[in-house]
Amino acid sequence: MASKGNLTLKSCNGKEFIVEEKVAVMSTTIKNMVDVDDSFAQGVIPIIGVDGKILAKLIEYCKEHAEADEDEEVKSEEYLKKFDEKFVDELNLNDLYDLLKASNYLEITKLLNLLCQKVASMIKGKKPEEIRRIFNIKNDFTPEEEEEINRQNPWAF
Amino acid sequence: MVEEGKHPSSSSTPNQESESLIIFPNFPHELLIEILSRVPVKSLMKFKCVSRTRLSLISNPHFIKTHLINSLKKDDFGHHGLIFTVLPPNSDSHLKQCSLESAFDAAAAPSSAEVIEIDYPLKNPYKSVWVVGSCDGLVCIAIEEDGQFLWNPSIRKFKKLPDLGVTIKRGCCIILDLGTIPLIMIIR
Repeated sequence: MASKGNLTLKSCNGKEFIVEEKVAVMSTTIKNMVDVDDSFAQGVIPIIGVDGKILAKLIEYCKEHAEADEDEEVKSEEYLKKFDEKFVDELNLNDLYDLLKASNYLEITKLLNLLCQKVASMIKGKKPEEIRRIFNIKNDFTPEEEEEINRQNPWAF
Repeated sequence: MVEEGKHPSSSSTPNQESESLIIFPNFPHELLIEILSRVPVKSLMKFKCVSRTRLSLISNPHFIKTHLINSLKKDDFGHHGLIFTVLPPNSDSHLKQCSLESAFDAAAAPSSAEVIEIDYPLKNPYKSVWVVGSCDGLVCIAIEEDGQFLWNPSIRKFKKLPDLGVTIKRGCCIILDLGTIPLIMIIR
């Protein structure tokens, strides 16, 4: 059991992490759980659908940002920017995908913004057919409709 | 709840290394909106012809607003630009554009600003054109004899504003508010 000021988070595959409360409540979802029900603060908080590997990454991110929020001198804005850049650059696609879904579910806004921006930069400049493949989207336009839309915005292609 | 979904995959062909493709097969709708609202307008226009659902998604006023808010939040000024009016007698009448980033750089080194001429609705060098006002990326321009236009330079679309029944002369048209209800005042 976690000592006072700490929370225990449990991943869907049973891995437990003891983290400082200020780190855990970077997640709005966890913050709401702790605020509403005191027993969560004493016991174990199950993080549904997030495995140990992803939860560890989430904690790594939240820890840096929680510490920076507390003491700007130790972790400056510039330091955080570099940390963020390195953090997303080192992610493989599977982790990026899992982290996006997990940060959305756990409402870790800063991280969600960072990851969405990363995927947005991956899409930038891609052709429509590539975008369809990336997101597994079916083309439901008739060839005539598609031509009409292309005709309206020739400069975008 | 986090859905269990297929994982993304990456593939590349030896001949087309740059074409290596990232595949996200199963993105929840709300996340797709978050991501697309961060894609620059030009890339987003390609989404228009991806599918009917995507076209309606990015044409949706709520999405457009989210996209605008996210663009404004960016601190690198990459999406911000300046539009200038260039008037005779030293030149033909036209509009020029430069990125805000380039304008800032130019403050340090004046020759470095990248100012380019831009196309505007009904472009005609023999008629004066000037910027009346702007708000949230929409620009109101007035063209001698042709009237006033609301113009979105990012997606290159424009609408002619109703005829006000008066001849507009250069510099005599100002916009008071483009924010909620457009209100235009003519000063003779």
